[in-house]
Amino acid sequence: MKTLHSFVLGLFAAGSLLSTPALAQQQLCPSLEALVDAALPAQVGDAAAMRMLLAPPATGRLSQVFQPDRAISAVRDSLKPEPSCPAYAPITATGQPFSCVYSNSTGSKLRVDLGRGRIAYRSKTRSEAADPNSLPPSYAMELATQVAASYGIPTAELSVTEAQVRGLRLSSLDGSSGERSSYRAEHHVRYPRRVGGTLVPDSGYHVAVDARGQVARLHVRWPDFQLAPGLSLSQMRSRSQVRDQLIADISAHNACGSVAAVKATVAYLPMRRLEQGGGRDEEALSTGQVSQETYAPGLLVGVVPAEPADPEEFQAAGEELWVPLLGNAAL
Amino acid sequence: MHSCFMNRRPSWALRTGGVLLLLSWSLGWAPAAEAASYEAKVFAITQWTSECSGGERPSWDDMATAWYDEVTRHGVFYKDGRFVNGRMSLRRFCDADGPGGSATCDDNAYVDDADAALLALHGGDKDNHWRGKLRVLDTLNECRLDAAEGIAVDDLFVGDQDLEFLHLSSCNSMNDNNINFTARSFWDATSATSGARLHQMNGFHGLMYIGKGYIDDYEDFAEEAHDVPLHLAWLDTMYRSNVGDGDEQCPVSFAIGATRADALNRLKTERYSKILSEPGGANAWAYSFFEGCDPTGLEAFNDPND
Repeated sequence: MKTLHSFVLGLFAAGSLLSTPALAQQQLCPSLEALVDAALPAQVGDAAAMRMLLAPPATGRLSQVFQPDRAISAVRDSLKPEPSCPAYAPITATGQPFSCVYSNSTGSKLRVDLGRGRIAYRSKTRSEAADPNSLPPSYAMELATQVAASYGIPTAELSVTEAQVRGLRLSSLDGSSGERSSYRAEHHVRYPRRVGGTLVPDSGYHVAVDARGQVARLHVRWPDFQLAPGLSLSQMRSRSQVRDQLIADISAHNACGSVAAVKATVAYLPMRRLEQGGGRDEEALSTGQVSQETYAPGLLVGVVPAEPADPEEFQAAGEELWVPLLGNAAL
Repeated sequence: MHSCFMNRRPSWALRTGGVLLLLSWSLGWAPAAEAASYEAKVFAITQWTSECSGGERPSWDDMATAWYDEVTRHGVFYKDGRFVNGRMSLRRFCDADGPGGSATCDDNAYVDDADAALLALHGGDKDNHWRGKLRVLDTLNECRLDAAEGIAVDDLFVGDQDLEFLHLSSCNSMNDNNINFTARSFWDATSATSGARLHQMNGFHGLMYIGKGYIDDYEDFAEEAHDVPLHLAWLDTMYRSNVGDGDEQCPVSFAIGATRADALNRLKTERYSKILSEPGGANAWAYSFFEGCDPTGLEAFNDPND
């Protein structure tokens, strides 16, 4: 097992090793270099910007505000904790973050896992009904905002201006008679998370609202925000180092000329997933904190493949890459 | 036995499982999956080859494995095969009984041997169907896996052996222009007598994305599909806004039935923990999607039946 600190350093070392030998290779693809240069945000390699990223504002912790009774009441359901559930406390008597499934005889479930910052409410009955929904999208948005407060999502982190409502539609066709139907069954409201204005891409809040104006399903991914320990400005990678690694990473998976667009955004990336393979770092657990997730500033990169020359040929899947912004200077 | 609906033929594993179970007890060890009787399989490609080329996507098997690990954690499905890279060729997915099928085709031992299967591979839109990019050639000498739409090159006819749920983690796997042809992959000539057909398929309109940030989505899908209808679990967990260059990732779910009402009812109610009897036909279908969902590489979803 490795400590979180050594894990961080190991990650940075990997980034360093990745970037260097690929330098020669990247020179062979000017079109990709141009895409990356255009996409790289101004904050990359900027000390003042990094200083701000390393001093995020305290915006509240869901685990300290969350109350199961309030959460159940907000979705207007009646649920009881399953027998294996401990008495509610953010950190339980066994020293573990609170985890419990609340359920009822109609198939509704509220799954709470504060260690991973995850809460999911699912009503089987409301979800199966899927009746025609004539409610306006604004109703769903208002309901979702109200419920968010009842789940303890910090208001300052809920990016209201980026909230989105989409209708979920059911269609059907009888291939013999041609008889058909199509109707909207649910409204889906989604909010991204920002801490100090910076995106936290593995987090989010989602609510599905049924025809009766009830919450059919709800998903909260909102681990308490905490930076990984040991991060400092002295570890900041230069703009050219980040650029080189990004070009190397894209080049490793995509032939020159096969990328149509690159979009890069500075974000707080979860350390758990920054490690190759996505495994959870064992030493990061049992720290006494409720949330087991930590974050580091990084670059969230969308890579859009070019369309094939023949439109009926294969389309490579899009790719999302994560590039750490801290690293080499610490080594 | 488990508590979910069993109004369907048992899988091969279930048919032979009784003997294995008795044998295992007599030997004093417990089977790995005590109550689970449905088979889950994963087929994922992260690296293509010189004979079947494609851009590398290293996180794709992590995404697929997240589904595989989670779907087998709830006492319904057990792990029956995780295939990553290797000899991923057409024979594992094509149907010997399908129109133009070859005796080399062996989907009955691979994708159609599962009850729930997830395929992760690059995909394209050919005529009115999805086609997947395989990794290596076999004696069929083909890098392409063509879903069925009723033409001679069709390969993918599933459900006639065992498969109930097919999840396609692949671009263009449920494009709007292909919707009214999708049902053709849900059966083959033997379905009429056996009654066995695929129940539901899930895919994407346009491009989908690969990355470490998507791993949890596949785990969440596998969990949620035990609690609520599968089609909603797919849409809830696979939808993304602001992907790539500001586009959307657009999941679509599709089910068949003997009648339109039957198809709609199946779509609205079937889940991993409530597996319905075999569809009585494939002449009607129902599907769900997000209105206006606008992915990379295609126009926003335009429902051909609205």
